[in-house]
Amino acid sequence: MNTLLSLNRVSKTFTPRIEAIRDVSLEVKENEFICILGPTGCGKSTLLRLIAGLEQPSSGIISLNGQTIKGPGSDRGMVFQKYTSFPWLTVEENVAFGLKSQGVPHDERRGTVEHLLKEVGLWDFRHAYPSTLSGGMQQRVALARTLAVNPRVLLLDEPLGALDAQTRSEMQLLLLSIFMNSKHTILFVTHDIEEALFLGQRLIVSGPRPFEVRHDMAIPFSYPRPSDLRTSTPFANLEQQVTMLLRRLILEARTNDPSLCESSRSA
Amino acid sequence: MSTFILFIALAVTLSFPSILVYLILTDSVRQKARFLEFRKDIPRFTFRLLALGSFLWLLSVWTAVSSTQWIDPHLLPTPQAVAEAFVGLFSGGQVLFDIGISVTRILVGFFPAALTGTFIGLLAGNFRSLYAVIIPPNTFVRYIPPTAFIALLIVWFGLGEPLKVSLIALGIFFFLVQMTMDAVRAVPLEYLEVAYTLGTRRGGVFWRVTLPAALPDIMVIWRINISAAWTFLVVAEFLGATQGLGRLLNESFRYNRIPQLYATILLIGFIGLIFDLFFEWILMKARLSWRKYYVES
Repeated sequence: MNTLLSLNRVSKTFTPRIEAIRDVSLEVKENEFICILGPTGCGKSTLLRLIAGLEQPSSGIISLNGQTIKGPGSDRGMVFQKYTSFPWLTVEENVAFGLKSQGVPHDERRGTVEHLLKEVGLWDFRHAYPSTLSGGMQQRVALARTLAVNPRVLLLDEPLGALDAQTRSEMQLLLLSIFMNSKHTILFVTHDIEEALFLGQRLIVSGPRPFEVRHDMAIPFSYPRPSDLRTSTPFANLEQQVTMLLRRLILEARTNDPSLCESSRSA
Repeated sequence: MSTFILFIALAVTLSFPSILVYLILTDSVRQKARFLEFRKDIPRFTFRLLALGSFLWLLSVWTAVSSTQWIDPHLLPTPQAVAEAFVGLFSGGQVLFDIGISVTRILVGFFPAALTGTFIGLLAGNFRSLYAVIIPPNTFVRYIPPTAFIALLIVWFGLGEPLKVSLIALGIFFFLVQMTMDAVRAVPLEYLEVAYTLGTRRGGVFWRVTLPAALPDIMVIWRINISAAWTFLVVAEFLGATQGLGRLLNESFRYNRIPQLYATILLIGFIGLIFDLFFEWILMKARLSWRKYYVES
């Protein structure tokens, strides 16, 4: 399959001298579901922001379909951990926002919006304001709003991070079904090992800051994934393996730089 | 009759604060309902009762103090005398004309200044480069009391309409710029970033994200500044005008019609209350209710 997104020796250092990303090279193929795993504060969100074009890399090149990324655009949709639904718009108007921005006429918007609202299960709530919805529903609004502009890559920055366990697993199944139905290319950032393994087909692991690709491996479970996959032995073994790996990366970083103790403990 | 009124007034004057103190100390209205509850709604009936009681108390204190003549009745006429003056104001019909003129001046002074001030505040809040151009000089002018410009404005415009309108505009414009800028800067950056990743261009981010996100705050800013506009209007009309409520104040003062002076002051208060209710209504109706988080329902 074709390479859709490529990162070539990308680094990012914030002033004053906080190294967030160190020399990351990555090829993302079309229709891949990649999970990016790392301890909190390791720079994985910054990586997504670079791909989204919300930040500029200090060095290196990020390109989508061979075109260097210079700024944000609707070909790379992003869903944030924080609830970012526009509170002054109804659910329906939120989902239509991007299409309206691009000058898509009302009648054409309607079909897309209706389809997406049904897909994420918010059709009955289309006239509600986000502040009246639960966290899970707000993230569905954000997801549908991003899907509406049909991005080439979906960048999901811990979108389920603020949700309770039950809602979270429902949302995971929703994400999987969206991935199955429409074959999006997804980059999913999380610090939750189980979530990463349950969703993705490829796993990228970084240690504590700065973000580096320390491991890049295939997740060997086929789609569709039933929710009881999580309790199966191969899944548990892999989870154990990744847990050990992550622990080793954190320890390694700690011995190399004792000052990291604090930040890695909080991770 | 007047002793009866005095009796009632004294009773309300003493009992209302006593009831209030009792409610605060026992902290209960009925069982379970606490009197002092952080930001919790109270029954509409209770709310109206308390608000009415508060107004009645002020009226009672005034009645009590003026009827017993503790203060020179020339300085503090009784409510009855002021009420008579109030009715007298409306009997001529001239006062309706005064109200119309004053409200027109407010609208002409306020809205153009409010619209431009808000727009400039939006620019300064959104773009750091324009902030640098706009805000430092704006702050400099904002600290000069608008009334310090009066002499200069009279030199420029004389005592006619331009003086009134320009004093109102000058009095609110720089505050509107500053306050709108602050409101825009309080809009979470994530909203803008979401819009960018949805392919929204700068114009769209400006008008369809930062403006609606700041709009509830902007409405509050307008509401505050329209009351400031009244201050400057009255000052300008007091200086020299042939019509308007400030003129009426000035006339009452010159001809020593103290009850009429009180009546005019109250009239301005009532008009202010109507303006405020109008803004409250806009805040509720104009799809800005999202800010209230549906507390009432």
